[in-house]
Amino acid sequence: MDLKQNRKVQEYIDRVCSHIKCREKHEEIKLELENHVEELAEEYLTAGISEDDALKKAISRMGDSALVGEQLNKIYKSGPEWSILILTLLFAASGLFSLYFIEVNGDFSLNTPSFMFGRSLIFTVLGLAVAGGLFFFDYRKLKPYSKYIYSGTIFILFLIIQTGGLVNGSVQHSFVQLTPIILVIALAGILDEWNWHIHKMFYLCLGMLALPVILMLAYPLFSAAVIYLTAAIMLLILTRVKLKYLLPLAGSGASLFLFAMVTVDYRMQRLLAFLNPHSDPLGSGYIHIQLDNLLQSAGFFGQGFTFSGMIPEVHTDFIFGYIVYTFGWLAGIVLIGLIAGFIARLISLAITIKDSYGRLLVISMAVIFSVQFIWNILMTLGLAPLGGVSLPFISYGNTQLIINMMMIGLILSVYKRKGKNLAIFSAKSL
Amino acid sequence: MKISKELLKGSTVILILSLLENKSMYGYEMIKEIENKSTGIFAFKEGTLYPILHSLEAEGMVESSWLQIEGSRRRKYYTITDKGKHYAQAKKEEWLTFRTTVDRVLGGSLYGLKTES
Repeated sequence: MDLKQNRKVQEYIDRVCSHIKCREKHEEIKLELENHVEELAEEYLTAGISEDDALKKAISRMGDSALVGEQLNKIYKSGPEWSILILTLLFAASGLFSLYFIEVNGDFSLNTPSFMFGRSLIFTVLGLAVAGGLFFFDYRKLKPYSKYIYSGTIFILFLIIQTGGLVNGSVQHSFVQLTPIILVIALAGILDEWNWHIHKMFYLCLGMLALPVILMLAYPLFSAAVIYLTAAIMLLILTRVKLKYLLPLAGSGASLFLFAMVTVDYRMQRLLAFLNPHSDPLGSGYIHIQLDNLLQSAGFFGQGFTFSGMIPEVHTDFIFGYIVYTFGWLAGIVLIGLIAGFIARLISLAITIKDSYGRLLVISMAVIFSVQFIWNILMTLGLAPLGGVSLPFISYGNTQLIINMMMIGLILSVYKRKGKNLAIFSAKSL
Repeated sequence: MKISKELLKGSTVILILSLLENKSMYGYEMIKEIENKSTGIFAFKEGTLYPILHSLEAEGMVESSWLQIEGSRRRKYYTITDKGKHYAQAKKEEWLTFRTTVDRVLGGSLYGLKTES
């Protein structure tokens, strides 16, 4: 009996589905209900009832379509993941709040861009719109293009470094800032299908890890290279690569950094300044010493709006220092707590995701956020070398804001579709 | 004799989970099994089984997979997870306590019912 042809059965099932807002579930639910009606109708047919009556009886035994549909809708009513969204908005709001006071109370020595608060507000709204768009986009559509996304990004990065400038410099710099995220997203798709049993795949993987790191170091954007490599190694661990492969991969990544540190003067200087700021108090050590003074004078409830020009670029990389100085250690500790909660929530959320590609995506996004948050705060506290990393959502930086919001949109997109699993197994697997 | 909806509602989850403790099953099969075992007393609108199964899956109590059987036909089989087994065990204990307590409280009047009928 082919129920696809039967109008009454289809009408019943369509009525059930009309209550279920999550469209991605429709196909599966339709098939399951169809099967049930079919079995019921067959039972009546063998009892000698005409096909038309058999179907009628079968449908009536299924019960009220509105009731079934409404109950199913409740299960799949998948709004955004509220805790992530609310924390993101809180970070963005505290960023805007701080930028507003830097702009209003600051003097010219701060060298902040004009209309900083207004611009940041516009980009926050824009970023939220981008995140909203990605939330409705089915992330699984990206996966088949992973290889092309990866090679395309590498190609553009290569061109930028070779020609020394294709387009306007700031557009180009924005692109380079975006590359670790794009490459990690592509790598998640590639590694999800990786076959470690073929030996030469190891060398291919080594190349895929090292090439972006070399290019980013050559550009140079040190922090991007660190972010990419950390997330890539995390992806390797999650795809259960054997230790005999993982160690050389991670080791060669680390030696690349060592090479990049030793061969470039200012990187060495930064490292030495971090280890002993007072060796060069007016040069490389200056910011470390200033930050140290700033944090020591902050107190538990802060100094209020008395900040003036002690640190350059306070609106970007050192905004955490401004927040602690102005609003006190209390505010700083609350912020650190919220950040810890944000990272913990991302990880606990990733574990619940069935789709391995989705899980890889969420965890790698969590790693990218973690590296930025932790590095930025540690370097402000004088516990890590300065690395040009901003505090996600909070630091001023329009491109960064959009990029971070994109990542949030992608995470929410994965979460929205986390239940779907339409894999078909053979009967033997039971 | 018909059982009231409310009474049945509270126990469908435990009925389903204990069925799945023995083997993986598909929806129609579960309905038939419940009907047989309860000698027809437990009969509910069959469509309402699916919201229960889907919410059990969303909570990680069961897992589902589509199986290809006889040609083009496919069935969605549900399998109980470890979490589901623990939950079923807890629910059974709860049910046992509930049942013995209700029996004890009703005590005399239940016997009264029996002698009348």
